Amino acid sequence: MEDHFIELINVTKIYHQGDNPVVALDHINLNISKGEFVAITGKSGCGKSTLINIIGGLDSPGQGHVMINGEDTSLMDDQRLTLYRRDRVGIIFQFFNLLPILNLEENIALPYLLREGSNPPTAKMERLLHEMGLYERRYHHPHELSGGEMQRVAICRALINDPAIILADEPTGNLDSVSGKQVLEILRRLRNEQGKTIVLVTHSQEGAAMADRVLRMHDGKLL
Amino acid sequence: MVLFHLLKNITLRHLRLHKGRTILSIIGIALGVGVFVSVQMAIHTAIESFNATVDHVSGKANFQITSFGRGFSEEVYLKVKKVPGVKAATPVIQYTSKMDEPIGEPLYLLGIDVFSDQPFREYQFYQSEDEGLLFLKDPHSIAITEKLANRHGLKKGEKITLIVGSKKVILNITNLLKMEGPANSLEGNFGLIDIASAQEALEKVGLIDRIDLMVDKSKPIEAIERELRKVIPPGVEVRRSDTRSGQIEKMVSAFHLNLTALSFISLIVGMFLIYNAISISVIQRRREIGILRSVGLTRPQTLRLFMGEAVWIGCLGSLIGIGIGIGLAKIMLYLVSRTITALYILVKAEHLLISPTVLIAGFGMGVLASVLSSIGPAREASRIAPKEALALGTLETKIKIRLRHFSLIGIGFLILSFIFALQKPIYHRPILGFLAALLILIGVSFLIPSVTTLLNRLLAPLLGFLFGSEGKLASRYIHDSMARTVITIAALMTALSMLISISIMILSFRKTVDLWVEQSINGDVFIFPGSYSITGYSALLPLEVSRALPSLPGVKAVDSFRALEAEYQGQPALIASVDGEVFLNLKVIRFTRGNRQAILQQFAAGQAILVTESFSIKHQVKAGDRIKLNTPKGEKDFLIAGVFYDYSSDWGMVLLEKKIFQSLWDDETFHSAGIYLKEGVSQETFKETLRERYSKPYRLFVVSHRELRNEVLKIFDQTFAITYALEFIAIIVAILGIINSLNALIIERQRDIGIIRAVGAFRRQIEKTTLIEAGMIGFFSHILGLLCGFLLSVLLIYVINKQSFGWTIQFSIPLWSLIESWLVVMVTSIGAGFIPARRAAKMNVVESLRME
Ligand SMILES: Nc1ncnc2c1ncn2[C@@H]1O[C@H](COP(=O)(O)OP(=O)(O)OP(=O)(O)O)[C@@H](O)[C@H]1O
Ligand SMILES: [Mg+2]
Repeated sequence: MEDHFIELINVTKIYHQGDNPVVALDHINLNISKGEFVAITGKSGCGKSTLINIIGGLDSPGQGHVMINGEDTSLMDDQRLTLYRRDRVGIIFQFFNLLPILNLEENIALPYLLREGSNPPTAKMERLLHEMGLYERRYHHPHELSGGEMQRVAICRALINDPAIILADEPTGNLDSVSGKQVLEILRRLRNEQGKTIVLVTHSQEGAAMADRVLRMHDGKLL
Repeated sequence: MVLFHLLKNITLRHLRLHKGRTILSIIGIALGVGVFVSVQMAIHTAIESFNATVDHVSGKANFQITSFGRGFSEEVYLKVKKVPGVKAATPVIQYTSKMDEPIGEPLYLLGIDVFSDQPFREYQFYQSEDEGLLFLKDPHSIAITEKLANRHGLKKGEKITLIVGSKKVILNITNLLKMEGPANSLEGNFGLIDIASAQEALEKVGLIDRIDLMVDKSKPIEAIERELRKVIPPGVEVRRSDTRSGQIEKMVSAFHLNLTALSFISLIVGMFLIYNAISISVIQRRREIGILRSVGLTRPQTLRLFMGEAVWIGCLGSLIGIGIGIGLAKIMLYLVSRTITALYILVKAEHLLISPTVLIAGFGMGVLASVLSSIGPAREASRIAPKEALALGTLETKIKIRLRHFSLIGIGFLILSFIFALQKPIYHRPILGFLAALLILIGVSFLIPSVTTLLNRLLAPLLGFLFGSEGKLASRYIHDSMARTVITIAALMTALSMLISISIMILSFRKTVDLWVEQSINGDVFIFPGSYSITGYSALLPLEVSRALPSLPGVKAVDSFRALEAEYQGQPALIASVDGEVFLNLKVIRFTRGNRQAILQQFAAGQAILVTESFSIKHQVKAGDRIKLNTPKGEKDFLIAGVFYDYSSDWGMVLLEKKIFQSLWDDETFHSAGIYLKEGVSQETFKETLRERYSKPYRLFVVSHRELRNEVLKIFDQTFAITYALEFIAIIVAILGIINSLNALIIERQRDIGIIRAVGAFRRQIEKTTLIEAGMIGFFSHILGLLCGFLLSVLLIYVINKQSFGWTIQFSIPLWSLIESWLVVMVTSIGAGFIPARRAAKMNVVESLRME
């Protein structure tokens, strides 16, 4: 029942550092269906983040094609790629990547604000904040939050524009096991309850166990 | 030593790494030093060239006998020659003439008695002995310098037409002078004529200007001086040659001080740039410093590390600045000489004198400015705790500004400046006034955080409305990076407030002068000697003309004017003679106080004199006081009837009624005249009459009231051109500041920008945010610049100008030019934002996120 929702064809990414090129992704072919939960694991430096960044439209592949719902993002110009990032994917990072100058609510609202020029409807914002247990802290700034809380803020931000795809790059890497579990639980609910397509990079057993499919990477290749 | 090398290497590596910022800071300091060096060098050159002229022309004389006015009888020469102890004496006439168009340049004429002059001056004719005799034989001979001849293609044997006063004098060039001694004066615009032909041309037969003396050095000088005094008439003075120097310095000292103060602006603005650069470097290197501290770098070492950076920037900037200064000095010299010539005395200098003192001072100032401005940020760096090396994730780089604290300090400075502003001048100069200006700048700078915070809060909704999310973000960033933006705003505000205050001052002044010309200089037609524009008060109307004027057809009254460049209590002053009746009946004179009619009646009756406002302020005299003046009839005592507004000269002027003046000075000539025409007589008819009668032998300059007014305003504008030039450079430095600090903010925010781009911001959204920020910095700077500029202009008009020049300027706000400047500021600051904005938009998302 492959529906080619996310499809990578022969994707290769080579970084040139001085004279010696580093092959981060080596002819990757991958197919992810809508609503699927995929986990990616592998040793450090094997290319996981590079893969996520390319799927998320943060980076472009050197060769090959990245098809998202039939559209080739590798052919998109910066303008369309930005639109894709803003409206169709939500990305969650290991280091949270919240803006220190904005409070929690504003951090969450940012992608919406960039789209509409105005803040998201209060109802939507409040629902998200309540769901993530952050309502009381909505006026706090990131540096006043714990890692787990910060990551939940990042998840809210990823969800504010209601994207179909959620990409998470080691979201639990900087969290203690309790907070980590919480985050994984949220991701699972997103897939089960809202049918989001989720790609998770993880080192943890729990993360891998939660996925529909686990992919292993080694030296830029999928095993 | 090893440590020193390590630190030096770290510093240099950082300077290289952040090339853009380093270069901008260097340019900032370089421009500041450049302006200072060029202004000082130009003034120095102008003064020295004038002094050199005086020295060359005085030759080896160790005494001089002079008078001010039309000169004194040549009989004095015969008496002086016989005084025991006098080894040699020679009579001299000196005069600045104008070479007739198309050359139109000034020509300094020295009328000498060839025989007695031999021991005094060294000039070399370019020919054999017998040709030298030509000079003596021909009563219309002139010797001009080789340089002048080459410049204008003049040859020996040709004729040259000079305008001497108002008279056309045609002379034969019999000899060329080698470029030695006096020939070097005024870039070679020097001519030697026989004293007799000089007397004739100047209508001064029997009179001489000066006697140069050489005395027997073995005899006591005081004794000779005493003997000399015995034989000279009153109004004539004996001077030792060495007291002569310093003359021009006195004349132009107010002008010099003002220019010097102005030339510091760019340096002050440059200091903000350095401050900014070093503090950015501190913020960026917090982690590095933390690590260095945790492995054992001490606080003083940290301090040295950052101040070292400032020293490098300062040295390099100052060196380049000296180069810029030498380059700019040529233009500056042109502007300075033009102004000094228009306002004070003829100077003509083209060759820059490169004074090592000025260069060293400029270098020292540049380095000092950088080091001073680095102290703050360097101390901040030395306070960084080692544990900050370990801080991960979002670094808290925010420097909290205590708004209330700052505002109170700011208000304190402003109060202090107010107290300073009320103080009396020191040595006739508004030293405390300039200090007050500095305090105003510092005071308002301390108010920047609270004013900016307030304005930002007020503006935020509007920005959100106008520019959507970008507007909101920009406003947020301005608030959040306050510690940084404050410095940028302070730099731009300083430059702008100077521009604004000087514009207000100049335009108010211009309006005042315009009104004064409109009201006080009345008459229908004005007559000046043809050489008036370059020779000032030494040019006279021919006696034939001035005597005939009152009886020419159509003339109702003649407002004659004669001024002598004299001294009053060691300061240059003008003694002038005017027609009291005309003053009483026809002119509109505004007095500072008292009844106009009563004052003028007293004046017209010859019972009292008038003084200008600048004279009254300079010498602390008022109506009702008595002053003593040196006259050819000895020292005389005068009652001051009134003090009147006058903007013609900052030396201060004393007006005597014509009859009184003539009885004392025995001089009926005058420089210029305003003619009141009878009802129904047109200006054209009158001008035609003049042309018919006098255009052959004389060169007269006849203008209408309107033309005169335009002329006055033209000179006014030329005088202040230099001010605008200096201002312009300060603004450039400030704009560099905007580029610099926005660039720094962008680098500092690289990760933020990466995040915003990652969650879906377009490049142009990032660009727009940065541009809005630039615009806001410009806008806030302008608002603060207006506030500060307004305060400064009040200070300039009511304290600094009043104390330097002694005149009242009517305050007026040039609304239109303020709007203009606002537009220019907005455009340039947003323009300056483009470079950082592009840079921000182009950042690679993934790399920005990867970096820590
Ligand atoms: N900008 C870059 N320049 C050069 N090499 C790079 C760059 N980014 C990544 N690489 C290299 O590409 C390879 C893959 O990097 P990537 O970040 O995808 O690894 P990863 O699997 O996410 O590792 P980790 O588990 O440590 O996060 C690594 O060898 C890395 O050194
Ligand atoms: Mg990774």
